[in-house]
Amino acid sequence: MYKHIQQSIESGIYIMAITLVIGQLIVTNNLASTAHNMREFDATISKVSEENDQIAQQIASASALQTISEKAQVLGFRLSKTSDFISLGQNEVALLVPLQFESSDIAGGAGQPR
Amino acid sequence: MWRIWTVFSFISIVFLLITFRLFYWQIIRGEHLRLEAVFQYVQQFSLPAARGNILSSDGEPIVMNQIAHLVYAEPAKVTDKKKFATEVGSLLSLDEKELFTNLSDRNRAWIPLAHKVSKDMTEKLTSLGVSGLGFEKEPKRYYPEASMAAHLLGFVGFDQNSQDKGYFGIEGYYDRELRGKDGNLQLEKDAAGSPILIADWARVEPENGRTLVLWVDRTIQRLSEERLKEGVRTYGAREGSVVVMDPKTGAILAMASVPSYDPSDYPAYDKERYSNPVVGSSYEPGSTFKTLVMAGAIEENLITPLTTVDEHGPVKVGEYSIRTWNNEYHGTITIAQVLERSSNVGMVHISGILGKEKLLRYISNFGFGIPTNVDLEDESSPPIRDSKTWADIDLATASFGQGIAVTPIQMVRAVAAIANGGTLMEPHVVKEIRDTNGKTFPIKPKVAKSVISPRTANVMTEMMVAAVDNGEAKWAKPKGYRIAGKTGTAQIPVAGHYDADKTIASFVGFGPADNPRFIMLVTLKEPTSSPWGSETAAPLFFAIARDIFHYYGIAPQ
Repeated sequence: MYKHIQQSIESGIYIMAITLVIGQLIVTNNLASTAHNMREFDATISKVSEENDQIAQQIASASALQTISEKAQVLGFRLSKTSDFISLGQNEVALLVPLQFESSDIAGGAGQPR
Repeated sequence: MWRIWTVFSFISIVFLLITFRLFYWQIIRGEHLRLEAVFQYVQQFSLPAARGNILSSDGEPIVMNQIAHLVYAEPAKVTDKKKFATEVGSLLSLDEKELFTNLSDRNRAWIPLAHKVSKDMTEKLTSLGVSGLGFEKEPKRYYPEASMAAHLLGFVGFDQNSQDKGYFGIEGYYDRELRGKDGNLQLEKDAAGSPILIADWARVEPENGRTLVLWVDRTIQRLSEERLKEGVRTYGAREGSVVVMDPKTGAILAMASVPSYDPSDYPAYDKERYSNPVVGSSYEPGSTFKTLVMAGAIEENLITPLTTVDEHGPVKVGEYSIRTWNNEYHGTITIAQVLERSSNVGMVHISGILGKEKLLRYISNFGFGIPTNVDLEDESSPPIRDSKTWADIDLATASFGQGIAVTPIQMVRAVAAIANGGTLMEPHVVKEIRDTNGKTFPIKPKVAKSVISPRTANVMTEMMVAAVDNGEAKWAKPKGYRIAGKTGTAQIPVAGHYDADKTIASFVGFGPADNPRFIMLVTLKEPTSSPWGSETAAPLFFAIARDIFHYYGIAPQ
């Protein structure tokens, strides 16, 4: 009876060991292929962050005063020689219109300074 | 028996040889072999820290990073060295023969070819399809506003170890804040080069540089630069500078100098242009200095605006005779008129009333002779001579700003004390520092000292308003605004005497006088259209002031 139990335990240990070895192989294999995926993830992260940097640069470039000034000139805005101020209510609130259209630049427009 | 000994000896010798060999490989060469093995299975990556951005007061970037690469060659992997040297060399403007020689050198495993190469160029290089060519990320500075505020910002170059380093201006002063700290990643790799995840690995994250938010308003900066360029051209000046400051906080709103340079292409410019003249070069302030001497005399209750002085003719000081700027004399005039007419003779009388000791004390109290502590790298401060060496003539000439050297930043700060009720502020360019976790460290305005009382400051303000309204430059003043200011025309000292033809024209002033939003100093070196500040620097000052009033939405009264 005792010998039978001992044999069962030994068999169990062997089966468990074999199962663990196979499990280890499967996990290691998975990890190896995950490493490959990880390399791809790193490449993707790098690419996306590069694109982000590029977009940030383009936004900064597009919102630069130099760019805005050039575009405003193309659209027909000119620097005004005089400025208009208005008061609202009792408070002295000054509104400024530093830029104005030139009449010739407004297609079909009345040519009024804005 | 001898056969046994022979075999024994043979075995012993072989044993000893093996022992020596093992000793050689394991002890003597052991460390070297271990390192070689490590290089084979361990991969090390540097994780470079991104340099911090610099933002203007409205949060828009004026300096940021852009993608660029370090281009390198790995000679062992280059299959056709001649083709490599010809094609890569011509694209990168390298000496082809030298490149070929370097590629043929067996001792070289890695050759850096070019730093901070643009993305377009790396794409062209990749399209060549040559083997042994590699790229590594190496971001470079990008300036959305091009060369705007170049002197204020400085530039990024290389240190002795080819690492990025800030020079001049903000980049130089805040280099440690901006540069951050590189990280690194160390992991074991398999034969295919993929990381082994079950092996040991270590990662130290990079600490990106901090972002700086400036007080500089990019609109005021741009309009100041545009006007300054136009002014230098119109008046035929050799150099010019403008500094705009908030007198209440010491915040620098704009700082421009001409001629300037492009920080993204700094090696193409003369090195003398790198230094910021507003903080790094000195000049004799001329009549703008009269406001400070007069403020001292009023503060000491020695004069009032209605005190009269004699201006019947040139005044004698020792062997020297001091005249008015136009050699015209008005008899008895008030102190207020001394400022309006910029009378050198009147100022000599005032300096005599004030005395040497008090005059030098006020010069020192207004912050001359010591750096202002502005947060820019290249600040200098011309020394004030020891009081024992001051003769009567020195005292007399100092009263109208000759024979004393100051920097533009010192001058604007000193006059700002008048605009700020008598309190001298420390000028500052950076408003706040932001770290990568979003934490903000504001830099609060710093009071240096109280120089004159608010009462004296008010009196001086009114006198400076009158000097603008009744002075030589009144024709250029924007109508409806109360501006306090003073013109200056100083001769330039050359080899122990003053050049008869060359001057530095300047104008310092603030507005609106009752609640100053800005103080500004304009200097023009050697204007050729006219030597006088009232005909050159003053109109330029008023043109910029008009723009600033419009920008702030301040209506004329």
